[in-house]
Order: sequence, then structure tokens, then C-alpha cells
Amino acid sequence: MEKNNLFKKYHRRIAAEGILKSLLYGLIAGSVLVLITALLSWFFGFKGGLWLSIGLFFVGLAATALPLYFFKFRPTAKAIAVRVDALGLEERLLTMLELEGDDSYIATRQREDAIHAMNSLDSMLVKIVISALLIGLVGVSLVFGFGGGTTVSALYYADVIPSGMELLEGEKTYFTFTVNYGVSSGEETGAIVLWTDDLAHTATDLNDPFAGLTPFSGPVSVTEGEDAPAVYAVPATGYAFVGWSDGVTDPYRKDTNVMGSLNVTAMFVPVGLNVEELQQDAYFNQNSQSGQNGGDPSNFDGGSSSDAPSQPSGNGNGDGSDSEDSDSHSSGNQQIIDSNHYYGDEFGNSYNDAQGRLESDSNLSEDMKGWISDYFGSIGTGGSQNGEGEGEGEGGDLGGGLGGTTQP
Amino acid sequence: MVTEKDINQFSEQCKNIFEQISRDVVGQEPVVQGTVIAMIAGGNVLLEGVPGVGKTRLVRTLGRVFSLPFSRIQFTPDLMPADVTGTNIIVKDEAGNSSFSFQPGPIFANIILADEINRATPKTQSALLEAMQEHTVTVMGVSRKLNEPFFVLATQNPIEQDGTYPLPEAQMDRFMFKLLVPDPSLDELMKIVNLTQKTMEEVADAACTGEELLRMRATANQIPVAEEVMKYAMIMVAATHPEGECATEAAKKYIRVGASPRAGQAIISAAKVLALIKGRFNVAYSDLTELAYPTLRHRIKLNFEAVAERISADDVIKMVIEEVEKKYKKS
Repeated sequence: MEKNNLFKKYHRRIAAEGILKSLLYGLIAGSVLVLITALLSWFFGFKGGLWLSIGLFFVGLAATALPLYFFKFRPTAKAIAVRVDALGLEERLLTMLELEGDDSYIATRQREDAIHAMNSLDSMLVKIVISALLIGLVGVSLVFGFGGGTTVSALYYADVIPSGMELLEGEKTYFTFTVNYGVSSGEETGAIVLWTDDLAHTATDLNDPFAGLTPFSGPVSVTEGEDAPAVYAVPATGYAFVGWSDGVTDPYRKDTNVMGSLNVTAMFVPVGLNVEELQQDAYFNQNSQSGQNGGDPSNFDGGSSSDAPSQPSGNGNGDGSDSEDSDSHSSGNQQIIDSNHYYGDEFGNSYNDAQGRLESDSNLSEDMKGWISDYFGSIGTGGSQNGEGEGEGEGGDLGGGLGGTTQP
Repeated sequence: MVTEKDINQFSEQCKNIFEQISRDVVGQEPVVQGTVIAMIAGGNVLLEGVPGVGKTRLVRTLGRVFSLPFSRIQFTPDLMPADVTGTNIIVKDEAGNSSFSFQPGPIFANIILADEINRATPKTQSALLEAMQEHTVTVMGVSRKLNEPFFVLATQNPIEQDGTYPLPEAQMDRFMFKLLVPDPSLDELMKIVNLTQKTMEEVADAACTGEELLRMRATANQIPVAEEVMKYAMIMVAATHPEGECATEAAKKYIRVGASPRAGQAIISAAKVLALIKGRFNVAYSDLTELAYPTLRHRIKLNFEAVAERISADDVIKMVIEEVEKKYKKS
């Protein structure tokens, strides 16, 4: 169309101005979007807010700039006419556009007059005008919107600052609690609690599955909500772990999310006599003779023949069939289940002793006492887990049960 | 249909008119231009100025330049309507029979000089209403059409208000322009004195006839007005209404009654003439702004606050224009 050619020399500059304005408004919108997204994600603790807000910045920029240009700032013939008229053409071009198609003399003269006036005008007079207010707004929005938003997001992303919600609620005071793992009933004989920070600790040394672990010593301080060190309750020779004083039965524990002071005791009970002590025992010596007669020394261990000690020639009923041949002390309940212990009738004594002590121990709850009784009961009724004692007597059952308990 | 001849004739005659007027009237270009514009556009003019600034001389000169019958009516408090319009008188024919015969008043001319119009009573002033608007005069139930072109050029003195009757709004509204005739400048004063020392005779020659004036009016009417420009003019008029949707802050503060629709008609008609006088074939915003003062100043009624603050109508119009430009005008 003719008017397009007429306005061609002005179109480029006015279009450039329109694009520039659209971009500036787009920057404002994008920055505002960044700020809102960043603040929301920071406030609600969404760490991906940094990237989301940067992405939304470009979305906002495009979503604002494009419609603005095409629906508002793209120069139309009328807009160009108005703009050029303002340079002193006194609405000649605007009127000319309205008279388009009018062939009357006055319209023709008006058109000629307008074109003449327009041709005498330098296109460079059409300045690209961006208001100071718009530039100021863009600056402010970029600094506070884009800059501030991304900074907050980045700081939160890098864990330099807490989330907005946390900040709003105020800094939380974390208490420090004392956690202590003690040992009961085994102190004199060396029952210990080992600790490790590695719950998945696996033994690399079969002979010493606790290699690398150190004894737990003294109470430790644990910050509220954090975890206490992992510990193992390891019985000393002649003791069996029966549980923790708070009811936990696994010798292996890690208290997580500690919300209060903790003082628990690993409970051990004596389960046998030291072999060396037994060797000094006349009663043992007496019965060991019959044991040597009645059984194969290599089979004295009801749990495992390979563990048979050479020195104490025990009378264990390796096959169990000899138990009938022995008296009540040398029958199947007189067993040595490892290289160091003799679990003879002493178990009964120890058991009774432990029961008595348990009943009189005012520190233990009734539940705990009941649980310990149940435990001993299960041992007594042959609840073997690992032991493969061949003996049918009480000692064989005991050896099997303890074998599973004392050798984690 | 306007032709090239009409345009050329318009330009030529305008040039001649201003040239001839300047022979008798020294200075006062804005007033002269305003008066000529109003006459070409078909409007009446109220000239306001102190005595001796050339109001009456200007009107007389215009009558000569346009070579149109000219009547001067000196308004006084005892002037009656019939003295203006004319009346029926009893006449006797040769047979001695009496009958009423209409004796036309001075209003039956093409150019009426209503000198010191505010000295007549409202009753007499209102006798001009019909003539000014409809260009007819009704006497004893009979309407008589006035000759075209018809103009009322009235003068009034802004001082010496004792014994005067301010023109009612209805009559004010019928003046296309109210032109303020200022005191002459020093140079103009010297020229006036020099001129009148030689002769008091008015020497201006006729520059165009009544028919040519009507043709010029028809030509000017063909000048196009862009829709945006027309809208701007109407907004400017509407902006003087303190209660209107386009009311400006100045109007709300200082105006009691805004301009009537006649102001809109007047400003567009006059703007077309002004554009053509300037050699342009379209109306511009600048034409409207320039003509806003003579068109609106007598059509707005200032409130007490404006009077108390000694704010003139022109001051308020200036404020209104500035506000309208900010709010509505183009880029």
C-alpha cells in the first residue's frame, strides 16, 4: 500500500522503539516473576527455585514482550502518522490517512500538502524515546527482582541461608542431651559396650568380629534431633547379653533422632565358669574322669567339634548317648561349649543366682524382669538357634542356646 | 464541491480582507483575525474592552471591507426591543384607510454593531436572541428572515458596571467568540495617533461581497477534521463541566457551569476557517488550542472560589487545556 511506502523511513525507527519498549516491559515482568518465584520457593523450602525462577524469567520476558509488541507497540500507519505529526506537521498525516480513498479536490490538496510537509521532514527527527520512568523501573526490577530473587535462591540453594519459613519462625534452639550406655552385671568380668559410627560394620577378622571398634566410654553429648553413636553390647567371657535396660534386645543399637537424655544399661548375666577356674575345682576334676571315659574328648563341645580344647579333657557328651552313663553332674548338662568355658551345673547356679538378683533388683522394671525370665526360659526349653549340640541333656540344650547368643 | 478556484479565492480574499482592515485598524491582530474568522464561520462576536481601544472602529471597518449594509445600535437602558427589531406602525393610504405597516428596525442589516450591549435592559438584549441564532425576527407574530450573511458584533465595557445588565448565559452562548480587546502597545499607540492626526476618515475598501463571504464559509466547511482531532475538541469542551465524565481538576475547582454544545460547534467551525487561513487543509490540535480561549471564556461560569482567588476564565481554560493535553492528547 502506498502509505506503507510513505511511512517507510519512519517505520524502522518507531518499530525499533516498540521492540525496545516491549523488551523493557518484558524485563520488568520477568524480574517480577523471578522475585515472586524465588521468594515463594525460598519461603516454602523448594531448592529448585533458583532454576525455576531463571526459567520463568525468560518465560515472563517472552510472554510480556511479544504480546506488547504485537498488540501495543508495533507501529501502525496511524501511530506513525501521529508520531510524525507531533514533529510539526499539525495532524496532516493523521487527516491524510482518514481521507484515504477520498478523491475530492480538498482531500487531494490535503494529501499533497501532507506529503509535501512530510518529505521536508528529516526522518532522524523521529527519536527513539524511552521514558526515564520506564528505564528506572527496569533498573529497579532487575536489581531487586532478578538480582535479589536469584541471590536469595542461590544462597538458599547453597544452604547459606535457611528457608524463609524457618527465618520467619525464628532460629530454633537445639538442646544438647546426654547419652550414656552403661554396663550392668558384667563390669567385673569385662563385659563392654563397643561403639562405632558405622552401623553397617562388618567383621573382616573372623577371629575378632569387633576389630576396629573401641569401647564406649562415658556419656556423650548429642544435639537434639541427631543420632547417638552406634554401639554393640559385647558380653565378657562367661556372660550373656540379655538386653538393654530400656527393653531393646538387639545388642546392636543406634538411637536416632535423640530428643532427650538417654541412659541405658546393657544387661549381662553370667552363664558359665572359666575353664581354668573349673580345672581347680575338685568337683570338676572328679567328674571329668568319668567324662573322659564316657566320651570322645574331641566331641566334648556340644556346639562344634572343631572347637574342642585339648587341655581340659572334658567329659562332654559328644554324642549325647553317654549321658546316661554318667552321674547327674557329668551328664549332658556338663558341657564346654567353647575353648574357655565350662557350662556345667554352674549354669544352674548362675541362673538361680541371676534370677534372685533380678528379682531383688529394684532398678529393673517388671517388664524387663519378665522379659529376662522369658529369655532364660527359652534357653532352658532348648530354643537353640545356632547350636547343634548332639547331646539330649540339659547341658546340650544350653550349649546350643548360648552358642547362638554369645557369639554374634 | 470545493474547487481549486474556491481555495485560491479564499486565500486571496483573506489576504485582501486583512490588508484592508489594517488600513483603518492599527494592531489588534488577534482581535481582527478572530473577528474575521467568526464572520467567515458565521458566528457573532462579543468584543470586550475599555473605551477607546478601537472596538467600534473595527466593526465599522469590517462593514466597509465586506461591503455589507451596516447598522449601529447604541444600547442604552431606555432602548426598547422595538427599537431594535422594528415595529408595526399605523399608516394611512391615499383613501384615508389605516393599516399596520412593519417598520424594520436597525437589526435588518447584514452587520449589526450592538455597542455597549450590556447597558440595555435584559428585555431589549433578548430581542437579539432570535436574530442571532435563527437569523429571523418575529414581530406581532410575523417572522421575517434577516439578510444573509448576518452578524452581530457587540461591544461591552468591562468596567463601569454601574447601571449595566450583564448578558444572560443564553445570550452569551450565542456569541461564537468573546474577544478581549487589549490596550494598544506603545508602537501601536503612536501609529494610531499619527494616523488620526492626518484624517479621521476610514479608508478601507471593500475586499469581498456578502456572496463571496458565504462562498468562503462553504469552502471552509469542507476542511476535513480527523476523528482524533474532533474527539480532542469535544473532550476539551466536556472537560469544562465540573460534573462531567471528562471533568478536569481545574473545572471541578473553579467552574460552576461548563460550556454548552454550541462551544463544540463553534470551535470546530472556527478551526476549519483558521486552518484554511493558515494555508492548511486540515484542522490541527494547535488550532483548537488557539481557539479555545475565545470560544470558551464567555461560556463557562466561574464559581465563587475562582472569583475569590481572582482566577480569570482564561486562567481556568489554560489549566483545562493543560490537563486535557496530558490526559488525552496523542503521543
